[in-house]
Formats: sequence, C-alpha cells, structure tokens
Amino acid sequence: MIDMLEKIKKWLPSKRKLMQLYFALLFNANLKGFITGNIYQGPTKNICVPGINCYSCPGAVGACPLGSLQGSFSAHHSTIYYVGGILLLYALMFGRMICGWLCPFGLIQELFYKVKTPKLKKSPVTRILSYLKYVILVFFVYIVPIMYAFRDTPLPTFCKYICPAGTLEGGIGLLSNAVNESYFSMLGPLFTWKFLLLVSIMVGCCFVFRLFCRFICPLGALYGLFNKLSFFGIQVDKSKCTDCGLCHGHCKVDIKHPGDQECISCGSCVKVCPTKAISWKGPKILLKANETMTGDDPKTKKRRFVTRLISCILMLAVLLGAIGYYWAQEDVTNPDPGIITADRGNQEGDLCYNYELPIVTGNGDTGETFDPTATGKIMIINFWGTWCTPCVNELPYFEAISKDYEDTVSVVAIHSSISKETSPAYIAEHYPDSPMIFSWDGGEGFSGEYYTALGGRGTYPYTVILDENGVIQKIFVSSVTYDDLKGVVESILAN
Amino acid sequence: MTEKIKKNIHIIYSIVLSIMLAVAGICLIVACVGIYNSGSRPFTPESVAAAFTTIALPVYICLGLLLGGIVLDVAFPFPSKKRTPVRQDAAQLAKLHRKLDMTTAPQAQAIRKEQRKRKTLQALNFALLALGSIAFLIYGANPHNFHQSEINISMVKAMYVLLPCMAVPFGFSVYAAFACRSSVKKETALVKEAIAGGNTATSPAPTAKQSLPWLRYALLVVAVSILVYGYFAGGTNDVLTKAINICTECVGLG
Repeated sequence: MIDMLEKIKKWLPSKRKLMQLYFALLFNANLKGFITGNIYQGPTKNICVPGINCYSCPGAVGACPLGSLQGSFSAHHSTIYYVGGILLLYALMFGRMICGWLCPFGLIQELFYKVKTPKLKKSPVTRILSYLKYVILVFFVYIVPIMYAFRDTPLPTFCKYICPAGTLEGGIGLLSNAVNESYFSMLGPLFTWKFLLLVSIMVGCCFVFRLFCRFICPLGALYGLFNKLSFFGIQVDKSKCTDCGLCHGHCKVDIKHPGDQECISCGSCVKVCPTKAISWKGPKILLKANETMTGDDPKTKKRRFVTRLISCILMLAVLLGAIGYYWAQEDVTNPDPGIITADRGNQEGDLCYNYELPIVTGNGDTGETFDPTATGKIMIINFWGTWCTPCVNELPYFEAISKDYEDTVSVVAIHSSISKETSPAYIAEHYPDSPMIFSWDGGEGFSGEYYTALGGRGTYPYTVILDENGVIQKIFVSSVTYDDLKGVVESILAN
Repeated sequence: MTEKIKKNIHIIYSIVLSIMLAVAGICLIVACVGIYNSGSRPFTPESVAAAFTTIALPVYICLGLLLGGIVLDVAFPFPSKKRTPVRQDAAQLAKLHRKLDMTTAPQAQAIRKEQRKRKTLQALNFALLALGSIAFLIYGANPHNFHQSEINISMVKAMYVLLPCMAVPFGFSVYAAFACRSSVKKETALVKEAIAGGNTATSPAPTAKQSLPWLRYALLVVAVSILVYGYFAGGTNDVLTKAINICTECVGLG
C-alpha cells in the first residue's frame, strides 16, 4: 500500500508545477476565446501579467509586459512610467521567481523537457550563452524600438522577429480556429521565420532545460538583475555554506550560486542543502518570531496547514471566478445591429454596409460626414491606427494610389475608435495636404462600429475595396503593398 | 528483468526518441519552407494542411513514442540517476588560499603565474566584450541604420554587422572559461602541495557582503511612484490599445 502511494506520489505534479499550471490558466482565463477564436478586448487587458504571455492569445486576459514595454517607447510618455513601474514592481517583489513559478511559457518548456531524451548538461559554454539574453534585451527590446519610436513607427522588434510565445500562443492559437481562416492569407516570410524558430526552440527544449529562458528571454534577463534585491526568492547564508556543490549539482540552470541573476528560484537546491544554508526569502513574513518554516511542533504544523488550506481555497475561488467572469463577457466582434441591413453585407460581392463617417483633419473633427458606399468612385476603406506599425507603414501606398488614380479612386483611412485622439496630430505632421480622406471609427467600445460591421476581428490593418456601386470587391486582412492595391483597382476598372 | 536490461531499454528508447524528434523537427521546418517556396499565395488552410500531411508519419511516430514512454515507465520503471555535487573549484581554491602562507611557499611563483594568466585572460575577455558592446552601441545609436520603409532589410543588415561583434567576444569567452578552469585546477594542486609542505597560515574568512535593504525599499518607492504617476497620466490607454487588438506582427502573421 505504501509502495503504491509512493508510486502515485511520483506521478503527481510538484507544487511548483501546480502553481505554474494555475497561473497559466489564470493569465489565459478567457477560455471562451479558444472556442470563438477571438481575443478578449476587455479592461483587464491594460494590466501587464508578470510572465511572457502573448496578448494576442485568444485566452489572454492581460497584456504581455515585454510587448507593452516595446510599445511604450512610441506611445505617450506616461505609458513608459506605467509599464516601467509595473515591471520594476514585479522584479522587486519576485525577481526571476516569476520565471520559475508564474511564467506560462516556462511551463511549456519544462513539459517539453520531460520528454525522455538525453539531456545537454550545463557547462561553461551554456553559462556564456546565458549572456545572450542581455544582448537581446538591449538590442531588440530597447535600441531598435527606441530608434523607430523617433520616427513615429512603433516596432516591437523582439515580438516581431523572435518571440516564440507569440507564435505559439497568438499565431498558432488564432490560426488553429476555423473562424480565423482569413488569417492564412497573411502568412509570409515572417511567419515562416518565426515558425522555424518556434520549432527549433521547442525541439531544443526536449534536450536543453528551458532553452528559451536561459539563453534568449529578455524578460528573464531584466528580472534577473533584481534577483538579489527581490523580496521573494532564494537566499544563501554564507556562514553555513560549505561549498559542497550539491546545489550546483541539482540546479539545471547556469547559476554561479543560488539566488544569483540566473536563478529561477525553483527551490530544488533548498531541499538538498545539507547544512540548510539555502532558504526562501519571502515566507518569513508569514511566520511569527522564533518560528521556522521547518518547525515540527504541532502548533506550527497546524498553522501551516490552515494557511495553506485557506490559500488553496482562495486561489481556486479566484481562478473559477475569473473563468466565469470572462465566460460571461459579451463578444465584442458582433456588429452593431443599427448598421446591419438585410440587403447589404460584409463579404466580397455584397453591397457594403453604409455608415456616416466623420471627416477628420489635422485640426480634429470637422463636423462633416460622408458615406463611403455612395461616392460613385472606387472606394478604398482602410482601417488603421497610429499605434499599429504595419498600418503606419502602408499609409504611403494609399496616398500614392489616391494620387495616381485621382479621378477614379477615393481612399478613406479610418482610425480605430480607441486612441483616435492621437490621429489629428499624426495627420497634421505626416499627411497635411493628402488627397486621402481621414476619419475615425464610431462607438464607445474597443472595436469600432464600422470596423466590426465590415467583418474586422481585431486585426489591423484591415482594408476593404468597393467598386463604384459600393459592392465589396476585395478584403485584405493584412498589410497591402502599392501593387496589391493597383491590381485590384485595375481589375475593377477593366470590368 | 535485471537493472542493466532495464537501463539499456531506457537508453535505446531515449536515443530513438531523440532521433525521431530531430527528424520530426527538421520535417516541420522543411515543410514550412516548402510552403513558403511553393508560391501559391495567398495561403489557405487547405494548402497548409496538404503540405503538413506529407510529414504526418514522423510526427505520428514521435507522438507514439511519447505515449510509449509512459508505458515504458510503468512497465519497466527505472530510477532516475542521482545527481552528484558539482566541484566548486574556485570556492575551494579561495578556501585553500586562506590556509596558505605564500611568503614561505616554494610554489609561490608558479601560483602567481597561474593567477596572472587568469587575470590576463579575464582582462582580454573584458576588453573584447567592451569593444563588441561599443561597436554594438555605435551601430544602434545611428538612426541611418534603421530605415522606416525597409524595416526587415534594416534588421537583416544589422544582424550581418552585429553578429560578428558578438561572436568574437562570445568565442573568446568560451576559450577563456575553459582555460581559467584548467588554470584553477593547476593552482589548486600547487596550493595543496604547498600546504602539505607545511607552509600554512590562518587568515580570517572574508566577511559576507552587506545586503542593501535600503536600496530595495528605495526602488520599491520609485516603482510604486512611477506606476501611480503613469496610471493617472493615462499610461494604461496605450497598453490597452495594443493589447486588445491582434498584433499581427507580434504573432508573426505579418
């Protein structure tokens, strides 16, 4: 019987794994998103979660701290303070304990490491490779996004070119839902590169413990800098340490000593230290004076049991509450019933839904409106945002097409309803005398009314091309080039 | 079944699984590149599925092997290898040095030579890293290296320039790490020999560095202050804007 229990215990996940699973579920509590294929667009998305968890994942209920940090350089100055403050607070509270206990992508890597293959042991080479993440932090998270921020181009370089969590949770998470079939049209060299990187990292994780965390993750690099200052984590009492090396032998990451910048505070060294020189930093606040975590007196045991029980119940209640809350949220991709009419639609070949769009210039809303479906010209409706790099990058193509086909084509660039107040300044600076018409989307929600009505599902840029009669001829769910636009315009003109 | 046979079964399983994982990974990569090179744009779920169907066999074999691993673990349980302590050469050497009287030790010159060797390697390593970092920062600080209309090309060019800047110091660091390790071993042997020869002394153990609790609390105040300022100055809006719309670039869609 005891043998049996021991065997069962061996198969049960450790406390740390349960915590990792708990936080992975909590940060992705919008389970409805995995079914509907839509991302959550509610207010909790303005809070950064501590670990890497792509905000474009259908289940994500918070923002990714790295994506937010890169985006903050080209945003309002207050965003840097907000995101910087959150990151500093997380780093000071937990350091790299976040990597070991809270990061969903860390859990995925550890699960891959469970595959029974020969493992690559840590060595001086892996120790030196662990510095690569600092290079990535400086170049991809700071230098390049800042340089492009000076040019009014938001560019989350790390997310765009490296982040495997984004590809797995966001990219594959969205593509795997049949509702998002149109996203396949976006795939190109970037996805090919990121997919190759993801496959390489995931296969590598079967052989190397936390390959991404140890060598690539800039968030871990950032948190690691605060490991020694953090309130929670691992600490070593040097007066008790005998340099026996058992902690090193059990540690799978490239530490020099427990609690340094590479330590993810997994706690494996705490259990094996023969002199009890290694201990947890944080839990002392839960103990009374002269009480120890390992105390075996019945009073301490009872107190510990009650504390753990209450914590478990509270955590479970929070998780279930979160799942229930996000499940009950209304799907914001449903179009406004006021725009929907039976004789019109949002598919290619349909007569496009009409809408009174406000005309916006560099000075703001002019008070005038127009209906894009009734201009009598070929109408290119582009949904964009100042916060969106591909949108900003493709605007010159729209300007060029509106100049080259001045008599036959009209272009309206509709800014997203959210952060629309940033558009007049952008228009005044970059397109003061453009033949394009600028507008912004209506509605108080997060997705604009017209964008949603025309089938937008949270991806920007989004372009709809109508012929002279207001019939939808082409929908682009991704970035376009001048040649793409010219091709569609020429084919409409030819017919 | 003997422990040896169990062990061999596990070893064969892990080797076969490793090979199959590598094969499946390569097949996935080849399929992905194949889809990209096929030129049948825009891609559709059908075209992608068709390309991936061709590599289904190695992927299924991998999945089968993974499931087989669970059966193997239950049928032929084999205890995981106990981890051995890692030798703390540098720490041991520092401890030995506290027992050694260098003034009387005949090996003092050889010991100092090893120490000089390590210091030279470390200085060279630091210099190379500093040079690499300076080159890195000079390149990064030049706005002309980052073109607005050709972001991807700018990034590829940056990698061409910066990868050598990183590769040289990284390569030297690997060499220096191994050289220092062997130097420490040599010095440890010399120090042990000197101590065995009776050249002993007792120097006090170094005092532990004081932690900086005030810095921790000062940073906490800074973190909370800038967070509160950022929140009330509207910093959440931009985070929300970015997070509620699918960042097609971030997820690699394009």
